[in-house]
Amino acid sequence: MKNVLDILFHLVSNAILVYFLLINSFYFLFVVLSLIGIFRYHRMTSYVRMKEIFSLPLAKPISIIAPAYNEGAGILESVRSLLALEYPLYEVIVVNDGSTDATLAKLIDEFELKKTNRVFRKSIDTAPVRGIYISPHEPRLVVVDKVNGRKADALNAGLNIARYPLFCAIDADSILDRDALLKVVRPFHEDPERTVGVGGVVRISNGCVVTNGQVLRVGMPRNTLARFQILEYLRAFLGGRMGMSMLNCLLIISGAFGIFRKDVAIRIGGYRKATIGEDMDLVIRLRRHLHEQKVPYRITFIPDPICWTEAPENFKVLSRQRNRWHRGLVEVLSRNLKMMFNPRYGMTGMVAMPFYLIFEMLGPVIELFGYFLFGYYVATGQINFPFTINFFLLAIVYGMLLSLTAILLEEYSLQRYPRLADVVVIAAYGILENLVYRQWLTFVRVKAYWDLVRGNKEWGVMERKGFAPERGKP
Amino acid sequence: MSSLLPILVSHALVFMLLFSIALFGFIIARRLVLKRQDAVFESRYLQIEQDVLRAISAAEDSAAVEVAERYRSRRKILTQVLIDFLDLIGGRGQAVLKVIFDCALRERCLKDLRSPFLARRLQATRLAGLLTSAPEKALLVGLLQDKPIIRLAAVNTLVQFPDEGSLALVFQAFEQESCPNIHTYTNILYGAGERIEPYVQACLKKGPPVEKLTLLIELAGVVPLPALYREVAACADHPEKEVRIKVAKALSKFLIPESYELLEKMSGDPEWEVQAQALKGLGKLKNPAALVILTRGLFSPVWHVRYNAREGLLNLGSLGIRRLEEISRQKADKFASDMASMALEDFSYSRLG
Repeated sequence: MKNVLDILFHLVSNAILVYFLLINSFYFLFVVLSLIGIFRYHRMTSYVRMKEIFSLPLAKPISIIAPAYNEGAGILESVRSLLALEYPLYEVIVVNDGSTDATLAKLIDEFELKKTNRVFRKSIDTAPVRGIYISPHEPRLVVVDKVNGRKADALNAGLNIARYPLFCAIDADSILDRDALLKVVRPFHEDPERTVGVGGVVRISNGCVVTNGQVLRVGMPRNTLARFQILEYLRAFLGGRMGMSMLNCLLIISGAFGIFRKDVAIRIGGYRKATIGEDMDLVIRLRRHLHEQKVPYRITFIPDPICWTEAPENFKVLSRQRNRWHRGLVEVLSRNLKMMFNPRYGMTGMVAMPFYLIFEMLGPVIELFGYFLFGYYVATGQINFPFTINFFLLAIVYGMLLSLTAILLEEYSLQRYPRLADVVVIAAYGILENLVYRQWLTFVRVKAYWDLVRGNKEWGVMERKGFAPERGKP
Repeated sequence: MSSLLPILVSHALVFMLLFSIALFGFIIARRLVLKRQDAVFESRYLQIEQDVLRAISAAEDSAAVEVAERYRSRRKILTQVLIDFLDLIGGRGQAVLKVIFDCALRERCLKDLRSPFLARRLQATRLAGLLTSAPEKALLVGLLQDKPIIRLAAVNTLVQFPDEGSLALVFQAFEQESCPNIHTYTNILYGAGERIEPYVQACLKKGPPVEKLTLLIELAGVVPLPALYREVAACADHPEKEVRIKVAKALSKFLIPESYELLEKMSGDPEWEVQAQALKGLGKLKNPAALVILTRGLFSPVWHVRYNAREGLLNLGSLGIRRLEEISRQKADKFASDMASMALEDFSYSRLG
């Protein structure tokens, strides 16, 4: 019996080694593709004047939809930032999703909003709308007050109200760079027939100096967790998403900053309400629908326009966020299993979906199993310590290498961290994250399965500090 | 295998470690080099900027030639200065910038138009569009057969030169263009304004495919080119819905009284999209005779038709407002009443604003 168990464990160990090799090869492939993509993007956009879009007769107007739930701390700063964007024609729709704090009151007070009887087309069913407010002084701002129905429902309410052919979904606690819309809309002008969605880079605003709704100086946060997340965001956006976009199989356009064609989104029924990963779900359903309709399309990522968001600074909030993300991922993938390894869905079915299933969804389980196996070997005295230590170091060094390549991508694309010391700090955190942070995250993501089994649909409260200029000052 | 694995892992570890250290070193070194380069760039930029400013203020072109001669070797910085100035100044100042470009950079730019590298060709094409006063047309024409991104940049450049030959070439390229790119042409051609009229007319007469026809009619409306009324109106009965929508849209931009009857007819089109556009146009014409049709539109089962009818009624002024008030009071059709109330509310807000 013991022999059988040993053979079994031996086989599993080898499988984990192969898994380790494969996952890192994929990440490396994405990083290489991202480097090529970023180089090409910058060369291709040289001498392009973004302001030219202002003179285009058919420049597509955009409806920005910002769902807000208890965002009182930073809502005014965010709305001011949205109203200061550079774009010829756009509207800002803030959807107050039944907030229990002063979100709506603050907006009414600041922009002198008046309730209207505006009639809108209910293309998508949503929780009841209690009122639509407009400002006599700021005609581009529309505030929708509705009964709480979660983020997807709020986005759908915004879609119903939106007047323009493109919509930009952003988080109400986010800040866009002033020229972000001009940059992100370019694919819609260059290839209007095929472009359906475009995503931009989301960066962490903790540690930055924010004044009048604009990030004036980029800095390094003092909080350790926020620093880890800076690195994660760099890897995810500049490494992963850019690489997947190069393979034309991008599956996530962040809910914090993405722009889509409204008609296609409405055609597939808008955001799915009964999901917590509504951003990924929308992109996958768009891909599924367009593949099934045999319509040529593009969903791309641009490494240039930037959206700033506030990262959680304590373990409790971060674990809630990551737990939610993982539950969202599991839900979305399990709803679209039909696409998995299905050549009918092209690269999406053959590369992106299996990647997310095997490496992102099952990754934490396999990793945790690896730790248990390690414990078992130690307990039974079967461990080859020199090999194990080497292997552990190899994993750390490989992780560090990936982090360094993400930093390199940042250096080539935006170079937003002006101080050399900041780059060194980020690189150091690339080593540190392998020691406790990574294992903790693995545990949090595995716990998400347990919550999913228990039927936990909680969104989790994000504690916001709001964007204050003092926060970033050294 | 099991004896090979530890060796493999330790070798991989050493390799990865060395690679990581090298990469980290590269990132730091690159930063330092770039910092130094930026400092040099900035000081030279300031110097060139001052000299270009002096050349712009000077009465003679010789000052511009002198600047060009002096900074011929600083191609990158000089190009950047010229492009930055181009955004800020107009008139004679722009002419001076173009003189500097022609003397110092034009030759290289034209050479780059023939480069085998896509990005370099693209940059050169854009620069030619921004800064040359007389591009080598033959070279640009050659680029009209290039990859789509270059082709569109070349078209953009050609459109900026007022000679008729350039426009003829652009329309020739438009006719040969595959459908995914033609939308971009509309945006580019808009910049040429009314100069495009004869070419659009000629294209319309040739009976282009539906996608191109749609865009040409849209272009005629956006510029606008009311002289093409007859050609546009001829498409009002086109079997394709998209074409009819654009015809109604263009007619509502032409704002010529003759289009009233046609728009009235189109407001009864079986497709609601055409009806909606036609109602919008009827409102813009501000003809009181449209009151009945617009009122009927407000009772349409389609939201967009109701919305455009309300816009039309608002455009009719006091006559339309009175009608909206009447409709808002009636109880037979709640949707029409809601739409009318909303229109009146928006109207009162617009007056407040």
